Amino acid sequence: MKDLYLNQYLFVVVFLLVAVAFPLLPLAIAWLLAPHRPAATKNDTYECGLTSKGDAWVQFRVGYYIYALVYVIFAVETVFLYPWAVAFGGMPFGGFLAMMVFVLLLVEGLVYAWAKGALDWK
Amino acid sequence: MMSLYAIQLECLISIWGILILLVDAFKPIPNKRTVGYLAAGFVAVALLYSFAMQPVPDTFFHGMFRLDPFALYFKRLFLLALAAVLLMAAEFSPRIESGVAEFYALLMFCAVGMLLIASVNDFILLFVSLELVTITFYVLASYLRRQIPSLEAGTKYLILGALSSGFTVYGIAYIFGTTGTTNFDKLAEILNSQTGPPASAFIFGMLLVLTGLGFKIASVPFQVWAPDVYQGAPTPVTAFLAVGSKAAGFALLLRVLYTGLLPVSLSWNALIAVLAGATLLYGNLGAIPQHNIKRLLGYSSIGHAGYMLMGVAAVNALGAGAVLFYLGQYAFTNLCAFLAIIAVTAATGSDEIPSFSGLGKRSPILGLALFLSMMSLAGIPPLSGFFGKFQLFAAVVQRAQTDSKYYVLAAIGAVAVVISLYFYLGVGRAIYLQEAEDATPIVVSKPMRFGLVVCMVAMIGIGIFQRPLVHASIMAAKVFSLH
Amino acid sequence: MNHLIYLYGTDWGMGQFPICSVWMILFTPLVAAALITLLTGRQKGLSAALSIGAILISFALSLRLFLLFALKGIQHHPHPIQWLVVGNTVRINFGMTTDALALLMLLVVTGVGSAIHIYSLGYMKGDPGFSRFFACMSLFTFSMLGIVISSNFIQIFIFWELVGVSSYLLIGYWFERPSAADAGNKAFLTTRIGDVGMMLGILLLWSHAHTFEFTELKAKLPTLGLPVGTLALIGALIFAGAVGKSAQVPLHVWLPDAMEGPTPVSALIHAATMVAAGVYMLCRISWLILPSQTALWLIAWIGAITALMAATIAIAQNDIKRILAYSTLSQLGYMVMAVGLGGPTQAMFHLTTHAFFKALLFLGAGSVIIALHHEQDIWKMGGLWKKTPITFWTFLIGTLALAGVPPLSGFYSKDEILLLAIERNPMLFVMAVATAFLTAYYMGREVFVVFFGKPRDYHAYDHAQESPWVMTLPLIFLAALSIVAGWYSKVPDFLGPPHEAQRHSSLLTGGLILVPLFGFLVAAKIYWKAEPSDAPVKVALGNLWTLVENKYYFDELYHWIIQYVQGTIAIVCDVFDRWILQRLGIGGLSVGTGLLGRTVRLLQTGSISGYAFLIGLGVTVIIYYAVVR
Repeated sequence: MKDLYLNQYLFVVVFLLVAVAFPLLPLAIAWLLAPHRPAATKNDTYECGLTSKGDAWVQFRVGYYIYALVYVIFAVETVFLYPWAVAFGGMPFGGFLAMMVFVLLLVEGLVYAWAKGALDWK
Repeated sequence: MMSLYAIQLECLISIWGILILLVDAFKPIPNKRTVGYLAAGFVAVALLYSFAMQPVPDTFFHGMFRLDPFALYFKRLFLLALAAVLLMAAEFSPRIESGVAEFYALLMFCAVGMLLIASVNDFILLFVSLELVTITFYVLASYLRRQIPSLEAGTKYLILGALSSGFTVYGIAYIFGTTGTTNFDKLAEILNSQTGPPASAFIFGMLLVLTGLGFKIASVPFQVWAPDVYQGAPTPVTAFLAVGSKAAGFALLLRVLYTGLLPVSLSWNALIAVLAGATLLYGNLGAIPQHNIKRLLGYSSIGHAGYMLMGVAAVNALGAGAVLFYLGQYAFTNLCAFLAIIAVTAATGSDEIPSFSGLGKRSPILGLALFLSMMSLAGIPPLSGFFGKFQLFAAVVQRAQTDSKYYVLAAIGAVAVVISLYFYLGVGRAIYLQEAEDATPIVVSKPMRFGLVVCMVAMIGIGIFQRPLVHASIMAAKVFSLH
Repeated sequence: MNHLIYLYGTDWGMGQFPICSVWMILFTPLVAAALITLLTGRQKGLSAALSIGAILISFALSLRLFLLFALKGIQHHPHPIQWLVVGNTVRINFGMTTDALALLMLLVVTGVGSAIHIYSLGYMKGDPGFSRFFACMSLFTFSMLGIVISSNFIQIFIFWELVGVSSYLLIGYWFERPSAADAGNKAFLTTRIGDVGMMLGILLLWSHAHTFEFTELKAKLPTLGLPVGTLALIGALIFAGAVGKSAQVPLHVWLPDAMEGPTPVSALIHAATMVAAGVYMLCRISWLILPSQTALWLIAWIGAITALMAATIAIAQNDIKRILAYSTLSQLGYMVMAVGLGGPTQAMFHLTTHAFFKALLFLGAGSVIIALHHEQDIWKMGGLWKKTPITFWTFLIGTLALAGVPPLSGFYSKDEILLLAIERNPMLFVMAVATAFLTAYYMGREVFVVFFGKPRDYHAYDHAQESPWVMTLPLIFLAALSIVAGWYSKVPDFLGPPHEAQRHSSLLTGGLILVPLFGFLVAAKIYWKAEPSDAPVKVALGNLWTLVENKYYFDELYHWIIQYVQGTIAIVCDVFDRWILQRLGIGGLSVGTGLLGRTVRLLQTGSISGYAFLIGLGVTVIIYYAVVR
């Protein structure tokens, strides 16, 4: 009984292995196949095509965090909305209501942040 | 629709909190005090309304949520605490630089978490509601962001709180892993069906969950944060920590131990008893050398957690009822003390005990309120604290009839009471026997006066006519199958 | 509907009486006291009106209740309120007794109280603490009524102490005078000695019967089969309470000093009502005392000794109020003796009549005192009968009633007690007759010296005038009652079956009439002259006079005991306490605890990582013990 129960987690283990393999495999292939000719430009940190300047350990503007927070909230909302939308067909009215309340709460948060001027980049 | 009925109080308070936020964001009200009084008044109405609500035998949200007498008892307690704390916050608002409306709203959101805690019947909801409370407190504790003590309090609470939350969620995972459920009722069923001692992995998980709850109620060895945070946090937040957060911790502890974990009570009651004894001694001994009243009350709150843990460790109906009664009267007593402290610090700007000297002359009502609450905390009849302690000791002694080791716990409790007299009377001495350096009278606002009078009447009233509250607490404790 | 009936009785028709107004008898004076203290302290007139109104309401309601019972036999039993329940064993109710005994006492307290309240309007006029006085009087009325209606021992004890407090407040009313403050303390402490005994008795009784309720105890007592010794001990201990409050030997010393209070207080509390509470309590629990011969014997003898001793002291006093105070002691001794002889009915009868004429005498004395601008020494008075006729005539009526001259009330009640005594214990009868003679003698002395002869202080005499009507009206009212109270011969019957003595032994009664007359004759012979003095008596009595003048040296004896015996014990205790308990015991404990507290404080380092370490350590230790071990 217990074994059977733990067997359900086998799937997770497999998933974990695949997840680890997914990025490592291309890197390994590239390492095996690519020619090794290092140069100063090649060893430089790649940052969206721009040359990076200075140290990474600097203080950021606080406004950046607020932007990021608002962004994260809505990113998470999408994560919740997606499975909800998939299961929408077989859902009672309460399910719809619950999600509407959730979205409204998030909207309220956005409205509040907006009204407080959190989205103005000063 | 029944589900909506079940969570109506939570909805009401959330909506009101959101309204305060939005209205203030678009049309800031210049007089922040009025907003606080309004909010407190609204919560008081909700409190009155809650007495019209009836307990429901079913569970809601797939067995996660209960609206039994126990839940209602605690919801009323939290609403009472919230109303009083909002009153304090209104009084305190001039000292907050910005975001007064947010302060009120955060207090209300925190209370929503507590209201949920009252009804928890599942580890998932337990964790979510606990975090709702704790995270709001992180912000609230550091609300005076230009003051180092407040920031320090917030940081300490954040880091240690996160640590204990980590323990809790880890423990929940172990319990789920070994039993396959997070629901308290199902957990009890599964544990009942098992023979022999529970698996070590399960005990491990249980202890980790208890660690998280022990942090909330400030029991030894998870109490170290309490004095620092109590002292540093803004006073209304300290009051809410002492009354609301503590009661929430006990609500969870009782719910978890007396429903889900009741079948394995033999594997935790000794631990709780030992912790109770240690907590009693730590809190009461540590309070002796203190000279800051908020820090003193921090230690005192550790001590009182010890008293109530005595009742929890007794694992009988008397004990459960006694803990509930104690929390009820403790709310009035502590709120009374903090109301008085806020009024005094607003006038003197200091919360060191010497600044309370001659308070009896500077403001008779504040002096009396603080004096009475200290006496009630010390357990002096006829104030409510006496009867609360009386019941707790009775519960332990009843348990000791079958397990004589409990007499040791009762004896430690008695020693603790004696020790506590020393520092509580020290405050009383400052109020009435010492002369004030600055004898200007302190003006107390009307709503404050009202709150103080209500608390004092309750303290004395409960002390003399214990029946109504005893009845309510016994009814609430009946939801557990104890005897 | 039920709760309406509960509150208001069954209907509002004739003969019915709303239950809530039974409670009103008790609580109206309390409300008045609270209102005066909290609100109307500044408005003197309003305060007095509240207090007087309250007691008049209580009086009217009591009268109605009494008449309903006496004429129609309707009795009311308000439900007791459950007040304190501890476990299954201790149940304390707040109940109300409205039997014949309580009704009679209610009437006495509120009736005499009303007269004295009104009298106080005149007596206390212009006093700076006017409102405080009336608040205390109302508080006292509430407490006294509480004793009367109590239905159990705890309740009676609570009110017992409350009367003690109000008596303390009123004796020390002029607290700026050290003698008044001391007298208040003395009264409070002396009665407390008795109260401790009473509490012990109550607890002893409870330990056998497990209830405090009078009705339950009364029914239960015969079934308990208590040993004779225990029963006697319980009776004696509870009687100790009465000894304190009713000022019996050896705890009588406080009452004469209590005369430091304002005269209306002396009249109401220290003559008519509170001091009678002890007797009332004994009557209320007569079922407890009657079965024990030893207790009865003790009570009877204490009563008789008090009666005789106080009467002898009274013949040598010079203060108009102190003479009356010793007379009160003496009469209380009579009542207590009657209880001890197995006659609570007779005791209550005498209590009632005594309340009227003794209140009258005190108020009369007060009227004299006011007329002479607070002069209390009888040797500075004289010839006042012309100046203050109403006071004189009413005082005379009171004197005759007290002495027991027919057909005034005192005659009937005293007669009952004497008849009881001759039947039960001839020795006590002799003492009682001697007391009766002395009573007539010292009252005759007081009347002759105060009202007759030549004025000895002409200045005061010339300014003396009759008191205003608010003071004389109560005098007349009480005088009327002092005359007629004995005629209503049903009073003793009203309380229960009368004892079956030869009630109409006319020879004996005739003989007893002669006793007071003889007393008056002797007094007249010595004092009815233009310049009376104690000299002839002093010569005749010799050392005995010195003895009684100094009140048998009781105060000195107590002083000596306190100074030497208690003082020595106190020094020993002090040394033990200071050096052994305080330095070694408490000091050691306190320093040790303080050190522990400081040690605990060291754990609070303030560093987060330290805290996290402690928490982690705690979790590890717990898990180690619970799981690994």
